[in-house]
Amino acid sequence: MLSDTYLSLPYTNQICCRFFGDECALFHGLNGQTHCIDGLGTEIFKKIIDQPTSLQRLYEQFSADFEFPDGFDLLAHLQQLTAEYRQLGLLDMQEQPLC
Amino acid sequence: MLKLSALSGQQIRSALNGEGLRLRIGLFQVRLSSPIPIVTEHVSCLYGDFATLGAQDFIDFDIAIQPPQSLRRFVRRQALFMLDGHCPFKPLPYAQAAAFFEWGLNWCIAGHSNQFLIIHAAVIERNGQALLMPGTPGSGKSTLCAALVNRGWRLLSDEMALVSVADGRVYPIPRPISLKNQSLEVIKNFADQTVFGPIVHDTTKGTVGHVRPPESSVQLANVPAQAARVVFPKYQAGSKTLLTPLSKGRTLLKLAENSFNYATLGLTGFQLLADLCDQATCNDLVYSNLDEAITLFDGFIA
Repeated sequence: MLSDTYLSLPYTNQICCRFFGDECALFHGLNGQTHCIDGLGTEIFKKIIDQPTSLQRLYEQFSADFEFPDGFDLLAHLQQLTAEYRQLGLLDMQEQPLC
Repeated sequence: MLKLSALSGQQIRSALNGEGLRLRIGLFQVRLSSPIPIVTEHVSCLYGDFATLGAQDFIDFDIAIQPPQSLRRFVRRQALFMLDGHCPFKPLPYAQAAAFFEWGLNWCIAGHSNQFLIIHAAVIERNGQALLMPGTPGSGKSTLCAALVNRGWRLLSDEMALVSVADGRVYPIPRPISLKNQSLEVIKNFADQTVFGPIVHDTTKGTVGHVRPPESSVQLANVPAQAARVVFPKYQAGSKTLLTPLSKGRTLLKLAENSFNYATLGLTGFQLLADLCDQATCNDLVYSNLDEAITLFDGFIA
């Protein structure tokens, strides 16, 4: 079955983001850890802080908004980044079937 | 209020040996008692411009530096640091009693003052703009701080930046500037009118001495300032003066690492640091020449 991955801030509502240009500082209220991310990571959080979105949607938006080197696998890069952020407890990911 | 320098040596000695000497140090009110002569010498030499308090004034930190009630009173003598009658530390050699007061007071403030986010940093000010210099021991922040203060910058602290939870401003706690090892000679040569307290050898930090804070800084101890710049200094012998930009996100992380109570304050601490980084220019600095570094700093507020 075809599916997409939906991304949102954790339901615990414990993530605080502050943006400094292409950087984002994040505070995790449950474990007290502070993180600093940049580049596409910042763009991911700029998108999902407003409303949850999907990996596919992010891929489409970033493909349109940014230029990437030839051969750059944007989708794989996004999957890797979001998986890392999920492990840090900074975002939730949910598989949902495509309508 | 009466300045300590208005008291005679005998009056200071009597107070320290008796009911305690009550001093306003920054926002804090401290009572210090000690029968140890080097403590008297240290306080008389370095705290002359500080206001004394009356017997009815509230005391935040009630500190005693005393010999132990044991043979260590006589043999291989030691000194105890006591806060409210309790000893939070193991004793130190008797000769280090005065430095013990300074280190212990740092601990009192860092551990009890969560109305501030406390960052391990020197802070100086000019034209209302505070400049924070966080740094690990040995980074040269105190040496640079002592030199800048000698050239007219106001001293807010050489040890800790007190960022108010209430208003985000940096509050002064001007106290004697702690210098170690070669820095003592560097500052003696740089500014020969600098007043040093007793020099202590063979501490865990090496040779330690304290510099008297400028009277003007002590007088303005109740005037906070807005953080305008954060500079992480690094002394590197023989290097050119090199100022490089540091991103605000990285600065926030480094400030959090240098904070005593960031974890305690949680989200409040994060928001304070984020606001501070938002408003401040952030740099790394490598230096070896004090005059060059001072010219650079003077240019920040020109």
